[in-house]
Amino acid sequence: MKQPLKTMLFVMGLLLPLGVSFAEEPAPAARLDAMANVLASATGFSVNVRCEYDVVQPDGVKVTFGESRHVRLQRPSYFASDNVRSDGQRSELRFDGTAMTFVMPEQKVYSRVAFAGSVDEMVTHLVRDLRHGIPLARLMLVSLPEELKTLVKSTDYIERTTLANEPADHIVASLEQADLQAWITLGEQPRLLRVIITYRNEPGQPQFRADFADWQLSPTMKPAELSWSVPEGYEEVSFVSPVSKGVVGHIGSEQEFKR
Amino acid sequence: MNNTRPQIHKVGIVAVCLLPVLVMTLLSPDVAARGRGGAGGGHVRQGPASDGGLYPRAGVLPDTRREAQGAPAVIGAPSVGGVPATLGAPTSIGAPTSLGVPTGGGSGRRIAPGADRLGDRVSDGELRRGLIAKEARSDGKVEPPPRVTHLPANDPDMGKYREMFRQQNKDRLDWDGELPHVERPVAAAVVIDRATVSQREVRQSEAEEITYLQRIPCDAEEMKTVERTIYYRCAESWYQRAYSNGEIVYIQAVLPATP
Repeated sequence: MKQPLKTMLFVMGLLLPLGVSFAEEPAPAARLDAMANVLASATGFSVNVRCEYDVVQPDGVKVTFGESRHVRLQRPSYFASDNVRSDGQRSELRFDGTAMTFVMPEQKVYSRVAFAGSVDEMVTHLVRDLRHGIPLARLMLVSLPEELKTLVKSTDYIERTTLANEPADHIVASLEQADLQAWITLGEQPRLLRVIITYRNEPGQPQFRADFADWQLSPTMKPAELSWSVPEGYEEVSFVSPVSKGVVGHIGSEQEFKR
Repeated sequence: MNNTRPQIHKVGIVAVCLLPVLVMTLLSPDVAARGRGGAGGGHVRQGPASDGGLYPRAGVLPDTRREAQGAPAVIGAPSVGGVPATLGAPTSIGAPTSLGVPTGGGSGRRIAPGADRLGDRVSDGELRRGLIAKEARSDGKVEPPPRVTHLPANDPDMGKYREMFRQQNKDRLDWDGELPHVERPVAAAVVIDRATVSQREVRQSEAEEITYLQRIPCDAEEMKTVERTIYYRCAESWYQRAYSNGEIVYIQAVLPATP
């Protein structure tokens, strides 16, 4: 009797770690990385994004604004975004590898800034140098996986949820100045369903929230679908870039300035 | 009949008592600011969370914080009769004050001489100081800008493409947030026209202070269209529209002489 008992205990001892591993939660960093790699590896994508963000007013009241965006991106050089703000104001952004065009259809106004480069360069230039908002701009970049690896300090797995349209892993990542929550679908091509970013060091800890729908990875988009031609009666206006104190000195290098 | 007269009398007394309260409420700056409409109905619409960056974005700060950080909060009297007062010497906002770009004249965009001497403040950022970068505008042609990067157009190997940008932002992790070493608030601006071809082309030497408005300071008393540009008159000043981060703003302009 003793020998079978020993054998049974031995076998159980072997199986126990396996059992534990079956019950382990998905590695949150790996899930985040897999999602980022899917986006960064795609030749392009299109998605509908419904965003909300908090703005703490001067009197301390926290107000939530929103917007919806239909984003189409085709690497290397085509980007289009149709936007509707929560107050109904519509705007469009088109990039064709040579110029960025900003359109306000209701006001019949457009502005064009020449810029040669890829979508990645355009996005970083627009956000970093021209201080134009592109919600979740880093999602557009091919360097998204590397940037996340660099920026994310720690990750945690919260739960697997079925509250969304499809099962998703709820992951939280801690960054230097923000907490990122992501709901990522299961399967070989994990996609973002929802994102919440909490700026924990800012007054009122405002949040940015986004829900994603209708993901299409590597869709075939014709340049004509992403370009924009000036309709009759539209006025071309200048592009004004708000900048912080001294920012102009940062945009051009010192050498360029002296030239 | 005898019963209704005292009731009417009471209603009259209540109305008389409430009238000053109503008038004071309507005249209070806060209500007046909100009543002007525009972005967010007078509320601040931009904040650290508005773009969903992984670093908080600089928002538009309340005037009290703006003053505390040494920025030019009030240069002179607020607008009188809806028209901003022309003020004295421009104050430094970290940008050079004597710059090489001519204003006014020529066939380009006509920023009014002295537009850099407008007041800096009406509540909730109605007036902002700004910088103007270049004067080239709208001859109907876009010259092909130099390529800033060789693009692997039609390259099916996304790995090569991704490698190209792997290092792009390694030294600027917070490129989607506040600019480093820059004090708040967002008060200045760069006006960028078609001639701006790359992210290194906005040079300090080309910048000039201007002031722009989020809303035109009156119900335009007159409108004129010259060479497809619409000019709006408020008292003695003319304005034209510009685009800034999804919104229309106004720049003071010189009305071109019509033949």
